[in-house]
Amino acid sequence: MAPMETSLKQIHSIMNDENAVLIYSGEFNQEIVKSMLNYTEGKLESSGIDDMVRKKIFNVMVEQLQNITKHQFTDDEKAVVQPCFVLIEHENYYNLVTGNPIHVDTIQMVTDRINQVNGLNADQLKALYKEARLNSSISEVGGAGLGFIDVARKTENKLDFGFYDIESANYKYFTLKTQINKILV
Amino acid sequence: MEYTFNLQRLMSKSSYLLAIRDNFERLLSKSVFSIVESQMKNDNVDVNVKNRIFGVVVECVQNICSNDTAHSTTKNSILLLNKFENGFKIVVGTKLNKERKARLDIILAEISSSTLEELKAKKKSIIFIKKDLDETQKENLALIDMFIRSSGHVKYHYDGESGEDCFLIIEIEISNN
Repeated sequence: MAPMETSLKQIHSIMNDENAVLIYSGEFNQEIVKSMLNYTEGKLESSGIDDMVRKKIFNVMVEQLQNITKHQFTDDEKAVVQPCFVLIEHENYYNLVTGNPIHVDTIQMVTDRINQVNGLNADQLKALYKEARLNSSISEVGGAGLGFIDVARKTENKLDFGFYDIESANYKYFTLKTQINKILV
Repeated sequence: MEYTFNLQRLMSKSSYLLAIRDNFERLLSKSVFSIVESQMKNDNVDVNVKNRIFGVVVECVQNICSNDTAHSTTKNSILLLNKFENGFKIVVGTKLNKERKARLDIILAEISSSTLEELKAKKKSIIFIKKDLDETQKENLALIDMFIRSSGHVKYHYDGESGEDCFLIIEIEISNN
């Protein structure tokens, strides 16, 4: 069996199991981001979901795709792992998943920031967002931290994340999953 | 969430850039093209090659993928775009029932045994039919077009033929030359 055929079957099988409808794996730039947003917008329009939810999904997607565009490259040429974006559609909610390499030195900071965000309620997130904006001597990590708060506020759901080993001593693969409910409470 | 990492690995291993699993209703065709186009813009692909890729993607989405719009939750088709050193590969997979499989089987066998000149003549003869084309003629035209645009670089096979339905996979290679 040809390797490509095997991959196609495996990709299709995982997509079926996880309800994934779109995967992009490659370099992210403005054109790609725009076309991903167009695709999702078209998909949401045809599915006839509420305008508010549509807007929410769109905003979160912009935030996540901007983050991935910013953090897609590594300094280590040996750690060539492409970033990716996955759109998942369940009956009651959408998941937006991004994956990109992350330097091992920043893993603890990112973990702490997401755990902090996940532990807060809506009012506390609002306050933290204000504070983070005021203190925006935006370092790379600080910028991403603001993004996590913003995404958590918009989705009103916990952020799911993971780090996976790649062939590099300095980098791991970071995945971030957000959930946006189709029906607003 | 390990599946994201696994998907990324699988995509990278076969140089796939994009995978879309959908029922490919007409509304989405335009958006699918826009993603493919932005990738080609990025790579400065020759206009002639770009047109050939577009033509093939159009045929895949509109005539090969199962347009099961009555059941928007069913997503029986997959479209993948693969970039290789000398061009692009479009891979389309779609679920077929027995009737459609039998129909496409005949069409594909006939096309595969034809020369490009014969296919061009056949294409002309279908295009010149004045009345609306039926399903078989549309599928025939779509597949002929894919063979012509790729200069015959089309491979196909079926998966899971034992049950009621099977899965047809077609790989179309468009080289930069």
